[in-house]
Amino acid sequence: MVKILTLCTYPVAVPRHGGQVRVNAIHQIHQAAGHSVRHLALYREQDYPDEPSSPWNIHFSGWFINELLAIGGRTDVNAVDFLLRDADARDRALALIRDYEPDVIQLEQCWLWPLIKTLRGASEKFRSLPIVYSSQNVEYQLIAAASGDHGRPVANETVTLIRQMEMDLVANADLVITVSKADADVFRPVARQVTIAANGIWPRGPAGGQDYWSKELRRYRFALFVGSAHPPNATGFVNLLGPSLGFLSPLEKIVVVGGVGNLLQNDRHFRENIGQNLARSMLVGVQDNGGLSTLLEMADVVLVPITEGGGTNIKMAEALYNRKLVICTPKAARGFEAFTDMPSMLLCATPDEFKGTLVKALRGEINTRPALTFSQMERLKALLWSSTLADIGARVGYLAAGRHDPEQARA
Amino acid sequence: MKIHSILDTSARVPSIAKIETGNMPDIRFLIDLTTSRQYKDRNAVGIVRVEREIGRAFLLSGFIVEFFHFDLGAGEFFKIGRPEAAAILGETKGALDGAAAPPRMATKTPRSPEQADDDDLRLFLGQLKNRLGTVAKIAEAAAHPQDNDEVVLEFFNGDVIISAGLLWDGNFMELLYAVKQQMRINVIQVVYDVIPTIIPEFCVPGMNIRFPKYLLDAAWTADALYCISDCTLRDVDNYLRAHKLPAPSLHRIELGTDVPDEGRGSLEIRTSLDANDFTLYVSTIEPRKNHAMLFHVWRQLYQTDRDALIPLVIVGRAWWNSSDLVSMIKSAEYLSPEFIKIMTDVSDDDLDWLYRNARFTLYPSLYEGWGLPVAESLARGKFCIAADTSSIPEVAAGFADLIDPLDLVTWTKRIRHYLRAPDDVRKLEAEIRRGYKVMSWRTAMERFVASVAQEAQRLQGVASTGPVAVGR
Repeated sequence: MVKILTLCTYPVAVPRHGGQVRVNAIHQIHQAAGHSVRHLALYREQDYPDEPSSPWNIHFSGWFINELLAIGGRTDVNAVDFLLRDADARDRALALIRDYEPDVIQLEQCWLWPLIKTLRGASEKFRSLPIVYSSQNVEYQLIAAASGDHGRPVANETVTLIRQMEMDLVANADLVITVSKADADVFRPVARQVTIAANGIWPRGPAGGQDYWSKELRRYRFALFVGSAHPPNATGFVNLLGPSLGFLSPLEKIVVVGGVGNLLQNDRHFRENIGQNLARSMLVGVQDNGGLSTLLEMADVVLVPITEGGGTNIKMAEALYNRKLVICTPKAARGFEAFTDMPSMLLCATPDEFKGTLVKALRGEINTRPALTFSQMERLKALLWSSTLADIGARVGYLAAGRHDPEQARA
Repeated sequence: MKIHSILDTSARVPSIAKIETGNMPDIRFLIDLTTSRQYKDRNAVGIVRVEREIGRAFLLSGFIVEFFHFDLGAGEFFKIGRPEAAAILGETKGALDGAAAPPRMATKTPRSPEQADDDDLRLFLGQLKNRLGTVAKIAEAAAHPQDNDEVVLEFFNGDVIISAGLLWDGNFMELLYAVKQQMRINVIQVVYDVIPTIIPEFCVPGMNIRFPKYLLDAAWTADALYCISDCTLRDVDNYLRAHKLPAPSLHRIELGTDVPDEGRGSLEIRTSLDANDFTLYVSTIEPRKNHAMLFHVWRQLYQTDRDALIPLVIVGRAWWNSSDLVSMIKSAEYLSPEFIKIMTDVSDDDLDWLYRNARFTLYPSLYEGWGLPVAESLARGKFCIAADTSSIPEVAAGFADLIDPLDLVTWTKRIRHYLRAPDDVRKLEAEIRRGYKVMSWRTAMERFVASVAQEAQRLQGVASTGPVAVGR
């Protein structure tokens, strides 16, 4: 049995946002392959209230959270600073890792690489352990494009440091896993081995709360926008649908699910017309899988308004797989190039195009239930995690056995 | 033209083809009394007054009229039977006794009130008055027991809904929009102001959310918006354009000012103030009304012109964000209560006495949709110093001294001047009495009903149930 340790700045037992869903799926794939998995998470406890307690979940102390607020820091970029300055937490994390004796260490994003690098520097045993770098984005590019947690732009010096850290990890990793070809192309010149594992989905679970949502939304035709509190989600929404949702009629709404609703309510541009925007949107917060299934089923159209950031969007995969009409940007379609010929995928590059297509969909001027051919439906199966991550379990297994290339190993 | 009494039971029947209307289409006017119904047992103020006046005017118009209210909890429109409607509308004392109704728009081609022939109008009014009598008689004769039941309002093609209520607290435009997608109805909405979109910081918390929804839904739903001032009309137009919203036709509704016969005022009011030895500001106390500025003027004049200083009487309840100011006023014991008096729950009779016996009145509000106290002051021949902003210059019509409401220095100078030059005030009052034209509610509502009838004809001719285009 191969023992795999994953690390990142969020827990994954109760996945809500895309990053959690992906790592959770990777765990399931590893476990299905017979591997053992542990996940070390370093985060602010209040951000993940549903997460069960576990010694592997290490929470920031109050003083550190206050310091982050004071300097406009980020809970991901600055996470390792906490371990460097809190000896107890650092010792706890290192003890857990040592006791587990992993065969492979997989870092999800690069933020905790300094911890692992320190560990490798201090221990011959860990120095020889295979390292996997997995990320939904090229982090330094995303950080350069996005704002800080509190709206302050990230300093160029910080972006440079992040770039150095990320590319150092890429250079030291035995395997780099990206979600798109574009990301893979950035890492390939430095990496030993790169594989693309697009984001996927699980088949939709049973619906829940149908009575409630049927009543709440009985009068409206609505678009569904699902997004975590990941700043590019709010930026894309405001850029493409702003400055005001007043272009929607009284019987048209955008239902916003997930932490992005909180970002929107605090977004300066959204707030400028907050009365109109709240009149035409419903910010319903995080929903359980049952509620999300119901909303996805009821929605006339799904929006994926991504204008910045890398990676691929799990919501896109969910919408496509569930035969929903999707209005998305070319950026959001990254990783889903194989599906752009489908009638259910409407690419809109500009705000006018995006809004105009949305209005047409809500007013029935576009068929919101386009028929797919048999072959198109077959192709959609490639969107399942079981397809997108099929290669990962085998590759990591071979790494643990000291072989880098499954093809080579097979030979 | 055959004029049908509103007592005709056919007026409550959805099929309205029995009415001979000349060129006038068979239109049923549905008048919203939601706000008046909520304020049934309270003094009529502002919006309630307008809603009631509109209700009364349509009640007496000879048109096919029904009244309704919206129940926010149930999310339903309910009919208001004639007895209840008459009770709601008759609350303003004597307003309907002998009231004339506006002419029915029955000419071959639509005419404005100004074009209407005076003889026809007088004849029409006489006929209508004879037929209808007073509200009390209406209520008595129209009492049908079934009207008191809560009956859900059904809409029919050709209905024209008129609302002048507080829709931002019980917005039913969304429901009317849904009805419009199914039927050929028209919606006419009275807009008082768009102040929460211009200076939200001076409005009650939450209005920055509720009010834009009201305005947005009105833009999408209403076919015509009637604005209470040119200023409001411009503000609405600017808002619709700035946000690229659907544009209903924009019109003016004039507001009236009825001056009651001079009363004596209560013993209490007459003993608490000396006639002609106080100034008057009628307004609820809230930051937008700028009472703080007058407080500073009185503080300064107390230091510099105590010999000429007379009390400032503020008539109005302390409303939101005003407790600090009221507390400061009360803490200034050298001014309060001798030179600054706050009065609440003043009766109509006492308010009339205050207007008539003030040396002059003040109205330094930062922004208004109309400015009724200025009209009430001028209608009684009483000079007013008012703000030069928003709609107030329209109301003043050249008969008030208008000053920037943020210019404390000029307000102080002008008030000092008028306190020390009573002859100037008397001259200005004489000019007001000679030149200021009082708009009675009767005339205002005659014009409104005529305009609505004309607009309804136009809308019924071009009404469309298709989706409204985005933008303009």
